Amino acid sequence: MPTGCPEQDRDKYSEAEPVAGFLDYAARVRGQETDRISELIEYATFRGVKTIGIAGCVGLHDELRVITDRFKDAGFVVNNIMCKAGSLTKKEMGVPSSNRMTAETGYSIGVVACNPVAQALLLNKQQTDLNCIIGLCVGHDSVFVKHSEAPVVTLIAKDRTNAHNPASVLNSFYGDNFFHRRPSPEGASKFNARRIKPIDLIRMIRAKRRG
Amino acid sequence: MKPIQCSSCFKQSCSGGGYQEKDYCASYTHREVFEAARQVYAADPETANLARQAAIIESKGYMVWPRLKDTIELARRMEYSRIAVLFCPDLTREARKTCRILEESGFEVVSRICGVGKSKPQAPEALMSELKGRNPELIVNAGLCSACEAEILQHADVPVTTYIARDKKMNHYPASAVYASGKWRDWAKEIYRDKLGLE
Repeated sequence: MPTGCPEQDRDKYSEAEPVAGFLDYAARVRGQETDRISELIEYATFRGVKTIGIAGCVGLHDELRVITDRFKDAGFVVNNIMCKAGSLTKKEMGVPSSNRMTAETGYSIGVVACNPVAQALLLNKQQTDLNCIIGLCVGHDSVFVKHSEAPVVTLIAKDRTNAHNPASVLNSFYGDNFFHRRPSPEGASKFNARRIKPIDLIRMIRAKRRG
Repeated sequence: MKPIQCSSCFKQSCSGGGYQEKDYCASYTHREVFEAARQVYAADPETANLARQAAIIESKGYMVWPRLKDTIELARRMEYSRIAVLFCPDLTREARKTCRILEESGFEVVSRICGVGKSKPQAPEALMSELKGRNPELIVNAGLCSACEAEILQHADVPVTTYIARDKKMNHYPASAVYASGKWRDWAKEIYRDKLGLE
């Protein structure tokens, strides 16, 4: 057993369960080969959940419709709310003007900010028993979890670069390249690029003076 | 109580400042909740700062940064130094690589498996109280199953963000269940073939 392994203190931990039979249920679920939506439906049935709340991103509206239909078919009452509801502007949030209408990478992203607190408060008001997240951004999901009264499960972790598959960067060339874990072809060419000599600078200055 | 249904809306005029005069539209029926949310932002500077930095990061790396880079940048901008990574024994390989990348980015990383040993997961409240003893400033969920995630993360008192949604059948890519479903295929057919005239 390595040092600092939590197995050493096994006897000290309390076995307080949130619901009776939760630990056995979790141990059984861990070995099953089910997809995440079915897993969530199974867990909601186990907990006796009646109303499910979904907080979604506007970019994943079609995915939201498919998942909502799936939950309705399973017999739950579904409340779903998108992140731009209420139209809180980015100016009110205090976002600087360079990051408002156009993203720094050149895409148009609009002037209305995402509003995770309102999503959480609305779902609290509707008295949902279980909330799930479909593609909230990195900081917004922590705000939603903080203000939600019901337990929260993430159904889809948003990653626009990798088609909502964030784990794919870990074991791929793109990921290793992006996080500087291997010398890339571009890096090699940059390394071999000809360095500017002083005579080149003098020539450039002369050319500029000539007009 | 009438449920809020953004899935019934096909306009999404709220992203331009408007709303629909329908009973499912929250922007029309629940005005007072949005005022309450404004007051929450004014009263709680930490929440407001987190939401603001998230909006800035979205703009900085839109369509270019992967989610892990977003997480790193958020931790840098919020000046967090200690990050805890929670994971399931099935995702040890992914969690190890996540921890390495976070360490190389200059954070102090604590990682914790969701249970003790492979036999049985640990009681959620005890796990969270043990993690609190290590003083993390941000908790990254790198693949917990839905049952564990629901019960563990609600006891956290620091910001929690999800990096990987664990999905054993779809290789930790839960969105592919949607993209491979029959309904999605029908929509794609309708849009690409009938409306746009593509094959």
